[in-house]
Amino acid sequence: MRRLLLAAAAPALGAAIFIAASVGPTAPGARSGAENDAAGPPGASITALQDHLRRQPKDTRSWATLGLTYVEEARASGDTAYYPKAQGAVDRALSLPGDDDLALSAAGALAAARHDFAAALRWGDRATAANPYSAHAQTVRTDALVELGRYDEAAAAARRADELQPGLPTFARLSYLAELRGDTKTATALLRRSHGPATAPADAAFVRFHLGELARGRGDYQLADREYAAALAAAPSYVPALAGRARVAAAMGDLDAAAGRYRSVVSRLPLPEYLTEFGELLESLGRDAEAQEQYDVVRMTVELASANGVSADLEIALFEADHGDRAVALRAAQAEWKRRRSVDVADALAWALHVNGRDAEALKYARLATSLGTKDARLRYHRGVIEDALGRSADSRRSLSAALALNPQFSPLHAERARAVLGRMS
Amino acid sequence: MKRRVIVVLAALGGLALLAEPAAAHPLGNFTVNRASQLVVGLDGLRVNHVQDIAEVPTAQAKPRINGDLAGWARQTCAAAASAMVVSVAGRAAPLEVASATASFRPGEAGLDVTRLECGLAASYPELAGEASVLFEDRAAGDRVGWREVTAGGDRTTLAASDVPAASASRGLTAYPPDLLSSPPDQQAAHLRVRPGGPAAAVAFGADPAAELGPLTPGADRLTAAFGNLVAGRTLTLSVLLVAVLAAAGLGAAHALAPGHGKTVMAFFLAGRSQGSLRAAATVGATVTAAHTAGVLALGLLVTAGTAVAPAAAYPWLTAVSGALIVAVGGTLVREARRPHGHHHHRDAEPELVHAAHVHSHGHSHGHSHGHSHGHAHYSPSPSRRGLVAMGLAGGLLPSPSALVVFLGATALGKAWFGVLLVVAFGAGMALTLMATGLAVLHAGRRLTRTMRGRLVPTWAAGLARRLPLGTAVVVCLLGSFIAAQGLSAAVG
Repeated sequence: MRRLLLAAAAPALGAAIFIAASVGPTAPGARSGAENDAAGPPGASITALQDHLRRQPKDTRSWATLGLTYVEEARASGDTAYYPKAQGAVDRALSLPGDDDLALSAAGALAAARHDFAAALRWGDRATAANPYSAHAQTVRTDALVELGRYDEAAAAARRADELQPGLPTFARLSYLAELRGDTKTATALLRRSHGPATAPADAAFVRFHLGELARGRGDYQLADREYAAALAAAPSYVPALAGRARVAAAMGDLDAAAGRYRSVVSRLPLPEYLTEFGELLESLGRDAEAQEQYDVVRMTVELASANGVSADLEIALFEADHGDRAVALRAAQAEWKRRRSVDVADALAWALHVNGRDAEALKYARLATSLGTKDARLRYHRGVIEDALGRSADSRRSLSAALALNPQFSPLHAERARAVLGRMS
Repeated sequence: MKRRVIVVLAALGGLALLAEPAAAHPLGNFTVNRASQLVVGLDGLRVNHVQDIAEVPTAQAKPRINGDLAGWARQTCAAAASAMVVSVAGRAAPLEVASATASFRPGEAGLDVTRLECGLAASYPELAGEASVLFEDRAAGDRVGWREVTAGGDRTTLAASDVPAASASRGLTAYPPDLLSSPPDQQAAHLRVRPGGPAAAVAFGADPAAELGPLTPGADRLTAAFGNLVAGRTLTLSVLLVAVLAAAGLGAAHALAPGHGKTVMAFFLAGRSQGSLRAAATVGATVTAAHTAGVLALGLLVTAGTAVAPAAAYPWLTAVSGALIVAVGGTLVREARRPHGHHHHRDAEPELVHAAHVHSHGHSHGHSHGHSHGHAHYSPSPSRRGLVAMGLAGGLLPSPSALVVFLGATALGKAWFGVLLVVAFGAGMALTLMATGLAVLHAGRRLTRTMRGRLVPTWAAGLARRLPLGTAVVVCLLGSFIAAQGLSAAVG
């Protein structure tokens, strides 16, 4: 469930790759599909756009497309150097006369990438006002609304986008919304339908990775591993799929292989999510000093993100609750809850309240976090532990059993803890 | 061909967007940026490999560094070398670590970043004829970041190369913030090398552009553009013309950058009112000649493989140029202070102001033709000599960009083209300097004309009367400043 936003796909520019829950400017967030007529590898279309703009520097829509492409490229590669460039391109697009829906959508996608979802929604609304038939505007709105926890509006925006311009971006978003509602069948079917033999490699990697995540979420590690492998066959340097393979190796008990894969993942792309998972794996292996090294890097990336003005409160909250300063965790979660009320934030707030001993309040948020029926073991696990702390044994047993039934090895550290609590109760 | 023209034009336009000094992390906190500079010799390849490691990977490396930065540098360079594949004429030539250094620098949020520098070398049997050289950095794809490979010959000539000759990031010290370019992703180089050619432009371990970096804002862009230009197999007439024009334009733009004696030139010319066009032409011709000679001389020194590294020569040349300016300024001061009858008038008649002008210049000019210089009553400073000295001062300092252009052309066996470009470059510089000087002079004359026949405040007239002395003093001051700058750089 650390995956904040699945709903990213960029069939158009082939840059669908997407880094799940992260701190910093590499954060997830929305993406809006750029022009659909630009096919081919992302590098190629970026070069074509750059060349075109050197000749036609007043082409608003191309600047906007370039801005979107840079945002995508940053997400795909984790190379944050593209964010200032994206900002520059978006500024150029916005500075030219006329309200252009693509320019406004690009501004929205950039805001979402920086975790400013409220601003992303405002840009999306302005883009909609400029052009009610803009699919880009609707995809930007969808992503912002999902992250703000306004799921019904998000679903409406996603359906609207799908009517206007159906394709991988809209299928991926509808799939994510279905997954959040616990309808993993529909989520899987939509993803399967969204790609075919002609899909660009980067898009194929994106889709296969998320199919892998869905399979892993329901405990089908073999299938998950095959999907991740397929993603890597399409795009060998696609780090999320490498991380997926590390996760299934850990889930299937091959801890040494998992550690090796995680080491390769964090050396390629040291996102807090991967570092934390690696740390937890090392901790479960009793390699505490090495685990601490990973956690130290997480703390540092969090500092960097805040130095860069990127809101990383959700990530801080979850990380600090489990491995750091409980008070910081709570402050961060509360700050994020003020900004947005998604199930993820509710879960983080519940967990932060729990580690601070405020279980009665925590339960309220844990229930909110599971209210959509999302089939995510971690959400159920957090709720079950909180219920146990409140002495609600029957509820706790139900929640923890549900977590383990969904995904018996959802985390090397926490799955064991869930079993321990269940064992103590029986 | 069209493409090359565009490159040059883009370079011209790009001057407006000069690379900024490297900020802490222009490329993001996750990146590991790497540059490999290949120097292909007759019997060995040297690779100057640099990594600019941002905050997060630095933090990840810290537990392994564990206080022993030198040891870590050796290890990391060895790992980098083993991930590089070199083959020469179809035979593998493994790289060995010759030197390895690393240092921390302050980054964002109070964290460190790391700069790693590896000197790597591979040897192979001496080249007998044209051979292919392949280089691939297989570790480059592992981390996100700027990936750059550049190549040049050392007593060899690159007959073909798919990588630039000069570093666009000045050896990872300045990343151009162009909105319309992506970070380069060069992980390999495919070269065809012929034995024969000048010695490597720089000593091992130094990147020409990086070394000259502080003196050449924007040289990266320029040299990259010219590198592409001269690298072309065929030089059609139109390419040649465009290149020459572009070089002149670049020279002109280059002279606009601060610190090119332009102010001095302006003040100097402003001090003379007669024959100013001619004076300006003399200065311009001298600038061009001096600059061309300077570039060629330095270029030859460097290609001859002497110990004179351009970076070491620059401060001294700057100092000499400053001293020359001071000398010229000194004679001007002496001249301006010479008791001219009119100067002592206390009243503020504009005519007299004008007369003062005529005096200080008319005399010196007139006498330079007729008599021997020493003979003149008022101006012991012979104008022609002063003008030439001024031109020398302006052109003595070879523009590093022009130098790099020349070296690039030479490395590709097109030295004549390099010379042509350097001449054009110098002429462009001279044009700017002359134009600035004449503009100032013109403005000065207008001022004088405006004052004439009109009551002007005493202070203004006083000011105008002291103009020659003022300009002379300014010339002296600027000269001393330039000389001091050069000396401090040379000594420090």
